[in-house]
Amino acid sequence: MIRAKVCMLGAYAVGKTSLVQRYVQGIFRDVYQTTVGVHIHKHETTVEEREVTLMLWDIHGEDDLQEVRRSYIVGSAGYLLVADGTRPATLEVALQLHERAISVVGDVPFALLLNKADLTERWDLDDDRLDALRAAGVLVRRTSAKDGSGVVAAFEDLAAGVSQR
Amino acid sequence: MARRGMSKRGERDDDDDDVDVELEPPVARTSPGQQNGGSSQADELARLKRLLFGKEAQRLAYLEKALSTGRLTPADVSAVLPEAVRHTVAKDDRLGKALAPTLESAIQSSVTRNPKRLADALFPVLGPAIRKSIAAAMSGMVDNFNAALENSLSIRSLKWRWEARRTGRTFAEVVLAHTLVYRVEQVLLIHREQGVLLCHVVAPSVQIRDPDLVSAMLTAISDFVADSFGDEDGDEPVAEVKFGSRTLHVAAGPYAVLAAVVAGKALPTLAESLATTVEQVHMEAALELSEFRGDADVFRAVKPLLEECLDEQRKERKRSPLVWLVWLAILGTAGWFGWQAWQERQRVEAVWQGGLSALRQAPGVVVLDVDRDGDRVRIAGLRDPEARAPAEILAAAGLDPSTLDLEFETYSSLDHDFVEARMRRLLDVPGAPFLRLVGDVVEAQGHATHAWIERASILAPTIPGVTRLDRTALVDTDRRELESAWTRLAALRFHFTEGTDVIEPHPVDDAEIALTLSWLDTQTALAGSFARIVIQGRAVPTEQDTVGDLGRRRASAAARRLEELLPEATGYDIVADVDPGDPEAWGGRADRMVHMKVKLLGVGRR
Repeated sequence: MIRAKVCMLGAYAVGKTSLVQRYVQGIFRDVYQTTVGVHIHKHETTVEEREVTLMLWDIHGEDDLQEVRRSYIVGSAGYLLVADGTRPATLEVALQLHERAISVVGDVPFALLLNKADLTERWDLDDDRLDALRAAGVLVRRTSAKDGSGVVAAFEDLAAGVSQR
Repeated sequence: MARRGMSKRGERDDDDDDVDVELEPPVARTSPGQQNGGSSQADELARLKRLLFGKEAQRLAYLEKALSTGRLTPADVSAVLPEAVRHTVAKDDRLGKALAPTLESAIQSSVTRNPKRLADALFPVLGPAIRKSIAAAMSGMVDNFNAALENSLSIRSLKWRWEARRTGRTFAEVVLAHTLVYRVEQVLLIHREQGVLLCHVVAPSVQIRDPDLVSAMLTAISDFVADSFGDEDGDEPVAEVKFGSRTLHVAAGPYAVLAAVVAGKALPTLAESLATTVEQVHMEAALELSEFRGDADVFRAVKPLLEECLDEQRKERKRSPLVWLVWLAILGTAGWFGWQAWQERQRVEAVWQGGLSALRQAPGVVVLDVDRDGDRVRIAGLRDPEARAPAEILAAAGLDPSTLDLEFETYSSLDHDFVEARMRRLLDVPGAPFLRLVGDVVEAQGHATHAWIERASILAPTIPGVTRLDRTALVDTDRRELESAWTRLAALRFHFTEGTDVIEPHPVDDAEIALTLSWLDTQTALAGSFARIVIQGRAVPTEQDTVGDLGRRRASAAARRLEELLPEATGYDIVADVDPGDPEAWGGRADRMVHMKVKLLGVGRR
């Protein structure tokens, strides 16, 4: 059995907790509750007939008042960067956290999730910027914790990545 | 570092060259011009070197070869192996740990190939080990039973039940809380950086929550505390966390932390014990920890180390008198039942021995083999048909026939009683005379039919234990009757009128004569013999009958008369003849009569 620590990194209110709840419990709560510190969830899945237990560290959102602690990222086997498609600034926060994660855990599997895909008509992201990220090797995925689109695939692909380290 | 390594290599090469110079014969170093003149000198020098340093040179050559090939021969390894093993064992236990998998494979292979060999080798230690294990299990059972007695019978237990009901905890939890000084409920080995659970052990009957989440949260809390209150470089994890009646004790190693959840107040030695264990874990699984990539299965090997930490200590309590009373009652009851069982067993044994003894002493019964298997008994032996049945003997002694398997072959006992019984069964039939067995002879006294005598004479020698029938004191009734019949017949006279063969009327009527003939006929049959009636006729010789022809005719007339009276007779025949007697002596009517003689022609003539 593989056990792996996976961090959810992103700005506040981008939907990290909602993505985890959607993946782990299959539910979506339309009520925002800010995460204080860290919530840890466990989810067991199978990758190529091998059991993989993901320990999902749902870390509080980064903002001007609280910075994601380095110690929370230490030891991660992979991470998901989450940005809110309707708030371009959250993409920058996600990329800053990406830099910090690389400095702490090095080159481990990760993906950039552009969440709230159910609100694409309100998205305000620079496509050129996204293309540049893709060109730089960043896996960019669209997800919606609300309707569940892309959520399971994002977590399962990451699980596959960490299990093949 | 790489350059320094090269330099060392170069130095070693130089050294090698030096060794070469010393070992090579001088001839290789001489110039061509010097070769002829110095050849003899070189030879002598080489010879001198061989004489002085022969063994050392060989040893050097051997070492040089070993160093150049970089290989060690089995002989090399065997020379240093015992010392190397002693050295390593004295230093630490790494060798044992390294050899453990190989030894396990070897034992498994041995067991697969020939289990008996290992079983034989382990036999002397298995017994004590099993006894010790059973003793420990019994001790634990008694402790638990004591606790159960106390907890279920005392007022205190009722208080605890009320407390459990009031606080919403299980009764077991309340009992543990009150009876345990402390107990290590679970031990978690957690990867220090990742917070991932590597290994987990739990004490029996402890309810746990998801250890994966506990591990991760403990790491998160520890990180949070270290970040918030630790030193600048402080990454030491939290050492102790108290929550309710439990304490979380943490011992940290470079790659993993050992967390023990303790109910109650832990002994001061626990911290040291955890620290030692985490060190051992790091020693045994150093590579797995430093290169951990999420595969926690590899840490199963350290599970026994964690299990050693699952310690507990119970409060010493004075036993309630009630418990002693209950124990006394149990022991008393057990003793009574034991005494009853022992007595019953003795009784059954006595009955069995009595039955067997009776069987062995029974005449005509020989017990050859007795095999007792639990409640079933198999008895094999020999039995005379005249003897009492073994099942009957054993049943009379009180044994249950349904538990017996009796296998008795038939034999003939030569015991006097059995020979006599056998003889009587065959010979003492209705009509038999008085019989007595004297030695191996059957003495018959009194009267018996001819048929019985014949049968008894044939059968007697065939009876085991009997050689013959003594018939000297025996009267053959059939023979006697026969003699009586012919005596009567011999007394019969036929008289003839003078000068003729015409029979005069005589006082015995024909019916009586016929009856006598029939009697004779019957008795010859019964006596197994054949009779001949010889009729002799008399006639006084005359001038016309000088040869006694009249006498013969008279005899033939009498014979015809007898034949007419019983034409169907088969037991005799009739012969007519002239009486060869002296006519002078006859006189009167006697000279014109016939008389009869009966001859018995012997047995088997018919």
